Amino acid sequence: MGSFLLVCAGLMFKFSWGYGYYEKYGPGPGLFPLWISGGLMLLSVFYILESLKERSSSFDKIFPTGRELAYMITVVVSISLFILIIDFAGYIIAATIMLVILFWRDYKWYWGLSISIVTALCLYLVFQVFLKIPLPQGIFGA
Amino acid sequence: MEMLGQLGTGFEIALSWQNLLYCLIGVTFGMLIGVLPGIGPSTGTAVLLPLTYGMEPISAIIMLSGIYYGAMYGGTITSVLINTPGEAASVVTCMDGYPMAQQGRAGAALGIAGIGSFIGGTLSIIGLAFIGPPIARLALKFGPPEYFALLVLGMTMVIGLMGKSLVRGMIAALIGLALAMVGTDPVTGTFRFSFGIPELQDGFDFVPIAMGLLGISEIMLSAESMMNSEKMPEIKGVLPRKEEWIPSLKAIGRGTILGFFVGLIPGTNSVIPALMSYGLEKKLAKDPSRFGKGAIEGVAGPETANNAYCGGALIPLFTLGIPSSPTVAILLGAFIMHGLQPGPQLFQKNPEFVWAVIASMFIGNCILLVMNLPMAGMWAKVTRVPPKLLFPIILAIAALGAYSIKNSVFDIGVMLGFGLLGYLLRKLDIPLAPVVLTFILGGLMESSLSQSLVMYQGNFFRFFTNPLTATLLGLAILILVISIVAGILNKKSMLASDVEM
Repeated sequence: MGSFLLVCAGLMFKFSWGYGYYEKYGPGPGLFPLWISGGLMLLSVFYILESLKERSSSFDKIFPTGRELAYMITVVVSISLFILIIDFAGYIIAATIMLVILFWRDYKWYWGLSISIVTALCLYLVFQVFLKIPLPQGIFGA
Repeated sequence: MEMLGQLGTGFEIALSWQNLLYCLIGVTFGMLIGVLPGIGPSTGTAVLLPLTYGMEPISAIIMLSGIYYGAMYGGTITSVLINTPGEAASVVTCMDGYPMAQQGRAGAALGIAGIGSFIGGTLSIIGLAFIGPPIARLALKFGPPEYFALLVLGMTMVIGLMGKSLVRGMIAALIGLALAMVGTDPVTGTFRFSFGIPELQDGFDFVPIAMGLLGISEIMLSAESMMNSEKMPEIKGVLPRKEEWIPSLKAIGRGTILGFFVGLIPGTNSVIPALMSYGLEKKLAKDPSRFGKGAIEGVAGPETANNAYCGGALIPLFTLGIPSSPTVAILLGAFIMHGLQPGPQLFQKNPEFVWAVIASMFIGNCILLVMNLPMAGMWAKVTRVPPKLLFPIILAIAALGAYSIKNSVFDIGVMLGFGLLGYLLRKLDIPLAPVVLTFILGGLMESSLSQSLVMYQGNFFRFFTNPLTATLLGLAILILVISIVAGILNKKSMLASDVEM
């Protein structure tokens, strides 16, 4: 993580340098980001040293396993699918599919599907009808 | 007198049926969030923030602040009944509240917690009404250098008090600032770090970032702790015994003062005054051995302190525009979303807004007292809603909420991305509060620094020639030094938790 942070901060430093540090009328757009990225680079080094001392940032500790990993994958897959299909399929269908995936493991399919449809319709009602926030209708018109 | 007149006008606005309804919805959601373990006030406010998009600003802030202080009441119920805190500040209540419930005195524990919360919450709002205007008047005299120094001090306090190590706290703060740099430079109009992506040219929106970092990551982490429904004790009678009233009221008084003043300090959280109050009550008690076995002062003091903290924590937001905790930062995000800039001018430019929100908090606390004393048993039943049903619904609301800010699918992706980042940072013990706080203050910090440097002709050291800025920056340096020393001596454990506030 420390090394990843160091690389990101280094890239930010490089870009900030290109934006201009100080200009005729005052500070340039690169001044503040340059200091932030410089500080972040320095702290990343300290962090790496701290982690080496603690020896606690092993992958086992950071990355999920078992039920937590399964739930995390479910969350990522369901929301990603929602993002991918919402414009095409419309809000109600996309939200129902997302919820069915999230309920899949813990409920029987007919319960999962029923709760998903009811939830998606309720949210549609609250956002589209009451709050008047336009939601994507998709090719099916909902 | 002028203040009382303005407060009267505030009550007039807050008592309109529409605002009363939003206040009721807000505190009810707050209670729900508090009662349900797994979601805390910052997650709740972040997820529900988009719902206020189409509302009047006053109604929106009335509702969101209702969630904020309502959650403090709700968290108590599960602490007492099933020994599981609904939100972090109620951890302390478990110590004596649960033993009281086991002795058949759950009603008395909830009753005194409700009364204490009401007194603490109401008195701290009176404090906000009295102290807020003079601080705001003082802050009106601040120029960009003073503001910059104040922001540096605020951030240093957040970094110094949170996280297991100073390095991790500082990394968190700089990540937040770095994220705030994405988008158009306010002075030159240069696009920074947008890499040709049109959605990034205006920078990241606060709501998807807050929802991702605080909400989604918390749900991912809580998946493991899907709670089991336990058999709950019965609630009989909500008033303490006759002889318990005086010690309880004394504990409530001390808790109010402690909570209010801790709330004024940025970077603290509601657990700190609750813990301090518990320690104080134990120290002052004639028989400290009762604590941990069902001492009523051990419930009254901490519960009061965490509610009094809420009112105190709103003072830096209303008067200086500086949030002291992530939940208050989300309130700041709501202010901005509704076209209001919290800070010293808020009391002058939008007095009806400020006083209506303050008045609504009095009303909200009264509603919460009713919800808690006679209706505690009903709320206890809510804890039986299984997380396996609740979490997917929250995720669906969050996805829709992120979309509704700018009608943009991109923002749902941002929320998911920051959810994963938040998960990773939590696992690495990097506190999330500084990320959120510095992200929302980054723009203000950069503009006040730029304006100051123009005034000082580019000489940074002139900050130290102005007595006020020099004092503020000096204090910031002192806090950093103390944090380094405390870190070396390992004295930060009590303040180390990065909790929901």
